[in-house]
Amino acid sequence: MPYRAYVTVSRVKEKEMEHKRPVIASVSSGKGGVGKTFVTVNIGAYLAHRGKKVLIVDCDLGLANIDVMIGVKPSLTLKEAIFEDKIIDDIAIHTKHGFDFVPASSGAIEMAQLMYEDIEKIKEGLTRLAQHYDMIILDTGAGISESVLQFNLFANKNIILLNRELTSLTDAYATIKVIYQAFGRNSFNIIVNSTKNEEEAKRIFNHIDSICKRFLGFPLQYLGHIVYDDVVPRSIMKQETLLTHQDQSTPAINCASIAENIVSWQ
Amino acid sequence: MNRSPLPEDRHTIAKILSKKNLERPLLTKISGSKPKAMLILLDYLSRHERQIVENITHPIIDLEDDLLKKIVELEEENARLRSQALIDGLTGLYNNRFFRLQLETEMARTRRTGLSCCLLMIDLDNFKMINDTRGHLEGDRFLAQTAQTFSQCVRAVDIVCRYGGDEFVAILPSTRQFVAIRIANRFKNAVREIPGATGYNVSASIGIAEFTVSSPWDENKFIQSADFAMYEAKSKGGNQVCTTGYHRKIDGGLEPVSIQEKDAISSIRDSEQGQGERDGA
Repeated sequence: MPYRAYVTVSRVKEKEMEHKRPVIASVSSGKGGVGKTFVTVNIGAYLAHRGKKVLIVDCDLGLANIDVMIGVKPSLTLKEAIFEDKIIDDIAIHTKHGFDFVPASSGAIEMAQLMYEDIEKIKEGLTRLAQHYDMIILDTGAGISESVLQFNLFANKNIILLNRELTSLTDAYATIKVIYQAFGRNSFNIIVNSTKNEEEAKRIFNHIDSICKRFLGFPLQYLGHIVYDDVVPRSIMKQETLLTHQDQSTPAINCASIAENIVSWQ
Repeated sequence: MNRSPLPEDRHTIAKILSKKNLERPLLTKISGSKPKAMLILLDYLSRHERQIVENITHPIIDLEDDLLKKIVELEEENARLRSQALIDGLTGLYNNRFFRLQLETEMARTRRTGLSCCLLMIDLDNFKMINDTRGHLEGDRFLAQTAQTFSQCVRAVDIVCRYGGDEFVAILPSTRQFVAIRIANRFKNAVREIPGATGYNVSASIGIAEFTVSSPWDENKFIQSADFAMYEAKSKGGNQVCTTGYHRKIDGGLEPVSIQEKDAISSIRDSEQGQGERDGA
């Protein structure tokens, strides 16, 4: 696995400083199927509901699917931004969920193998857009590919999502370790997804937290948990968020509380 | 008497031409990338070689033909200028000028692809001894041999150049430092195998610099960094490889998740199982 960027402030970041600086949060998990897209969309919806100007970016460039999750059919995506020189501002669309959204394309092999230069281009576009928002959430793909790492570097807050499965814990830890080693980041916000209850979530968090302290030498931050409930797959099937689907359910309350924690970041 | 060329004839001719190190001026590729015909200037060959070539080829060029003569002359002049500008006469390696051009290209490639490139700065230790005691001709022979040795140590994509004097450089495109170290060690060991190297205690001090997308270096800085690493190798007594780079300052390096870490993560299994039984009870 090539880790190529070292501790440094990228070209893009320096320009960003000149503008108002929104929170840019990346959502990663290492393992796929942990719920990155669901969590991104629902937290985005709750943040928007609280009056924040939110932009969600589908950074799973080769296998993007936020559009499917929220039921929109974009005609322009990041693919056009890179290969046809469309500007990202024109690609961003407003959604009924309250947040704006930059879609990517699915099954586009050329997007899965972007050059470093192309990823920089996306970052530059997002930096330009950033001044119009309070929050930008980057839904990265599974794995620790160069683009996943680069979007984690671009973000000023890194959210790591995990669930109770051992494979998820291992992959989440591996992702943390790679980002720490490659970029020197040592602050990660953990969301425990599909948990039985808060107690289990806390136990899982404490476990991974103690491993981070022991092997990497820093603690993790507990951002929240989302209890498993059938309303989650049902809301996804209906292409709605919990906010509109069933806002009194436990997962909905969990998402609202995570959004609340994120608001305090500003 | 001409006979029609056999497949092995091409090999015979190629051998003669490569011995003369004259492929470029002597071959002109006609029609696409596969040479269907070769332009061979017989004047370059010895009588014996000329005979071999004449035996298996049809002389198609009559040097009395003014136009053809002009073409041949131009081709010769072009090749001469090309090689003079970019090739080091003594060693046949690329020269410093080509090195600078290529380094610029490779750094641009790194910025585009995100893949690091490495630079090896190689200085021969105690080389002066050969010049001083055996004369400069012997020294030159040793340098030529070193060049040939280095050319054999690298991969097809790598570029070895003579930097000047007894200093060589190698550009290793799309290469991380840990791979560059392996190649540098190959250089280091190969130098000791050159006849006469051990007698005069000639060895190589090699400095490695890695250029990453986030290295704030220009070409000079890149070369300088490899230089510093090379000086370090020299100051430690030579015959070794040292590295430098614009690196993160975290101890422990870029390590994958260890077995200990995996075991520690998996240990949650035990406590969660117990928990499950308690929940169920």
